[in-house]
Amino acid sequence: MLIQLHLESKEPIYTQLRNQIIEGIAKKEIESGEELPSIRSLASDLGINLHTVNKAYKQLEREGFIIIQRNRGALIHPDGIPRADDAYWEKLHSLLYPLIAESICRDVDEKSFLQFCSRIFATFNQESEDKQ
Amino acid sequence: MKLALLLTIVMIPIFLVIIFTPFLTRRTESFGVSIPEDVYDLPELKHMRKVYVIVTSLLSLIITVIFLVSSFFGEELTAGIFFPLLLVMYVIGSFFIYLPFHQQMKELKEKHPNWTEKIKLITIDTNFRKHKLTYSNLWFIIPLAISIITILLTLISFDRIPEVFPRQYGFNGEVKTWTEKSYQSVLLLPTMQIYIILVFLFVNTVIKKAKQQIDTNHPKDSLKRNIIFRRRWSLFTIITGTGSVILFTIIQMSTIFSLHKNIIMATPIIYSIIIICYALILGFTTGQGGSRLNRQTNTENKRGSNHDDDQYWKLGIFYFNKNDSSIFVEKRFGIGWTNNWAHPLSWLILFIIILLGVSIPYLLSFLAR
Repeated sequence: MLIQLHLESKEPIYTQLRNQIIEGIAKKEIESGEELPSIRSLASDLGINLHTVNKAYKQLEREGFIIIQRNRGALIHPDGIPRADDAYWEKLHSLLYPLIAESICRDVDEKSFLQFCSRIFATFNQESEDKQ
Repeated sequence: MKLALLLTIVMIPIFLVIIFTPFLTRRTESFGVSIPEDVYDLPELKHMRKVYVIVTSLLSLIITVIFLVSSFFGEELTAGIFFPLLLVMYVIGSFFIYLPFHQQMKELKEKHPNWTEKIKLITIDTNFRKHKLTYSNLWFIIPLAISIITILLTLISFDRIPEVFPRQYGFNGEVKTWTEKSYQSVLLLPTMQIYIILVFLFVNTVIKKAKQQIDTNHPKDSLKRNIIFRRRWSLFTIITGTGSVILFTIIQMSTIFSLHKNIIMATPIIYSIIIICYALILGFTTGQGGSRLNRQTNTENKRGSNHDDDQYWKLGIFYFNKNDSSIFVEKRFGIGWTNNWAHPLSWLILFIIILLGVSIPYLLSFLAR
């Protein structure tokens, strides 16, 4: 799995890192039970602070994407990623709500909005098919 | 005259590496300044490289002439003092030649905002460290065994060693300094062998641990090239480490068994020539980070350009980045690795290596008592 960070971006680095790892899982570039680099080696390869990687890993652990083992480093959750629960739907709702509101203001109708989403979904399906 | 010519031959590979450094570095770095890859082939940059080659060639020529002329006034003096002095002067001189090129390159980059307009991304592959990056440190068991055998042989044949034995030879083969026999003095060379093994083991570990640096626009291709680069220099480290230990054993044996002085004279010179040629061939065929290896021309990823950390590269040579947790990084101008000098461990490591090297003779005399 490739990880790309934009250090000058306004988005915090640990958030970028978290999103990149989730993207990698979604594209099946990294599978359940597979090892992630240790915090130390990932930080030094990316040329960033240990704490930044630690923060991203901790968040991924809380969200159920990875488990951190004391001596083996981190792995993608071997039992698979927890399915969307009520809390997740609620989070999705609160994130999408203002975006849909803004889209309506900008004259993006429901159909084009959904088409746009489909296209994003398609990129994930495409790349995970390429992998297999 | 023979000796002066021989030493000139030894100097030539060093000249070649310095002269052609701009061609050995990555295509994304020019005179210590990071650039987009396609800029590398611009006429302006080609011209700069050409001028650099001419100026450093002139310096090489001047150094050679000084050396050859001075050798007429006594080879022993020139070879012993002048040769290392001139080499040091050459390295310092080439640094001062580099500096204005670095400055000019920086200005050129500032004049072209379009070089830096793309979004700058750091790219890494999470599987990088699952690849075999270097050869195992276990290979150093071989030189370690050789060195232990040397120690044992020395101790067994302690009575055979003459009461005074040569410690340093002049370039003409005559003995310069003599040493009185003692456990301490006969064990100096084998102890240095152990030190050499530790240093080479350390270098091999650095090659393995050094920061992953792959190209945002060619992640897969540059990853492959970088692995080959590391493996080749790892093999070089193991071979030259073992070779140096064998060389020391030959010198030690020649002391014990009073071998012909020609062996003591010839082996180090032949060995250095082989090693320098090996390094030269590796440098020119592989390039920094594997930049001279066969590359795929198609761009894998058009999004963004490499992360620009020029601000952390003082004079384009010294890396100083407090936010970077890595200790060892690839050099920008030249081949090999350098330290992140903002990392305290860099200084500690340097300190330990120097301290060990300097203190070995004292340590030995302490143990002998």
